[in-house]
Amino acid sequence: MKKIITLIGALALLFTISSFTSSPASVQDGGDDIIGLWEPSNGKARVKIEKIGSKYYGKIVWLREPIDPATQKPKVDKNNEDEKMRNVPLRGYRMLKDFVYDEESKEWSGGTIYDPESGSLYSCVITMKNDVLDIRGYVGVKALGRTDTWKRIKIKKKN
Amino acid sequence: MRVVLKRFALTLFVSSFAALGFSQIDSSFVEEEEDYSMYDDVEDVGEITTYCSPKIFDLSPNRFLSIGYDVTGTGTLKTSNEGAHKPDDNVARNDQSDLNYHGIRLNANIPVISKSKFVLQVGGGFNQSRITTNQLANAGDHNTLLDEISGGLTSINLNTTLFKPLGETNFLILQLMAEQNGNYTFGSSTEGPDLANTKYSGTALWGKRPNDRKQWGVGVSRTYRAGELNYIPVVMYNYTAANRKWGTEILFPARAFYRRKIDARNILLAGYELEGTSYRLYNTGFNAQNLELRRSEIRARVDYQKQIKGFVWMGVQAGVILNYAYNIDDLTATDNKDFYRGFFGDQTYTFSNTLSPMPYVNVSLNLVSK
Repeated sequence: MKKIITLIGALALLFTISSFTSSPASVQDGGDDIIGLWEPSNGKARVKIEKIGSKYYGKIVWLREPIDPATQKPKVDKNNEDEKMRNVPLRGYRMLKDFVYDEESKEWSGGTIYDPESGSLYSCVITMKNDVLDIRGYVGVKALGRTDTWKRIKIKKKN
Repeated sequence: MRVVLKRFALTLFVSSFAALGFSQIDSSFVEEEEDYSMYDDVEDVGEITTYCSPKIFDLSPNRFLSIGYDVTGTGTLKTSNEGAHKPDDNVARNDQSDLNYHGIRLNANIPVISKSKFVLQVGGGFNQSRITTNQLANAGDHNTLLDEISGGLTSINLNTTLFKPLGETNFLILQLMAEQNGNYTFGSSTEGPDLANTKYSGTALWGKRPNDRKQWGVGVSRTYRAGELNYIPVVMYNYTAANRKWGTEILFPARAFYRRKIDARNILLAGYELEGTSYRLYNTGFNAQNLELRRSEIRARVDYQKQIKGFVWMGVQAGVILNYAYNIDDLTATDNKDFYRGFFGDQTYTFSNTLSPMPYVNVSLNLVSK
């Protein structure tokens, strides 16, 4: 029994190590450059992009107008196609999902971007230059889409 | 020591599956404790310029690709004899026929460049009006005219739209279109289309978008929507109410709609659209050989748009076509070049015709962006 538990432990350790080391976007490449705080061009939200496993995700951490004027309560995802999601708060919402960095093309792709204002989920590809992201959401093919620019921001240090 | 090892092994076992779970995240909401107030006070690292968006909240979806079919009920066409008749003449009609139209409508509108600071769309359209008529056998000019259009009227266009934000609230829209319209059909041995008969139209509009629920603009347009060449002022007013249940989509005089949002996937529009253009009549049986059919119609309708799945929407329109113009000009006197009559010109039509109102239905399948 002890041997079995020890063996499982060793296998688990191996699996854990391999799941991190086999990541296509390891720390050495430029994939992690996207990690941080970003603001879309309309300035209505701030999004924190982070890496979970081998993929990149972005969640809304700030809203310029956090209260829904119709309900006087914190904004929720009321336009979501999925009825069960319509009471989910927008702050904390993961609007960027499943991006993988491609070292060759220097872009984060394979993910989706969710537009809470329309309730639409678009395929998305991200490129970065000088702390500015070009975020292209599209329908089916990249030609049918629109690119928004997001700027990098950082939390002000308190004196 | 063994107890510690056991616990370590169990912890690793559990954590490895947790890691596997994290790598396949499907939860959109992050249920973790975070002090969001820390994001209130930030400073810029990157630099971008903020531009106004081409859209406002809840506008009916922008159609990338559209395939539709148009069917009208029966209307009565009354024609004058070939000759000089003023548009306002109460000419004696020498004959009349019942007719109706049906035909396919294909449209594409592709955003070639679509960035915050610049949007350029290129599109094309193919609209066909096939005619069914109870043509009379002994009706002279009337019969000849029906012969001209009985093969159907076809319109092909190429168009481009440029949206240029001028800062955070102002914008400029330029729209250009080239059309080939006529009684030609592809694959037939009949004459046409001829590039020399291409019709060009365009609109320039300056506007403001003060907030996410309103945009308005004023401009000028060179248009054939009234059937013949015209230069008119245009006014845009797109609005969404604070409760986001209703709004307007207006580009006067081309169209004006009241919009009712049933929910995010069901939209109802009620209003009108002015449609029209000038069709070259090839292979004419008349004495005059440079004839243009000036066709214009006001489509008063209810338009129901529904999401089928994802970005695929269907549209169903039902309403009445009020035929504003169905006259014919002869361009021989102007060296086969189009001319400007406007609303107040006194040039006479070669044929002054009327087509009575007819009901119509249009169904379409659309690939959209919201």
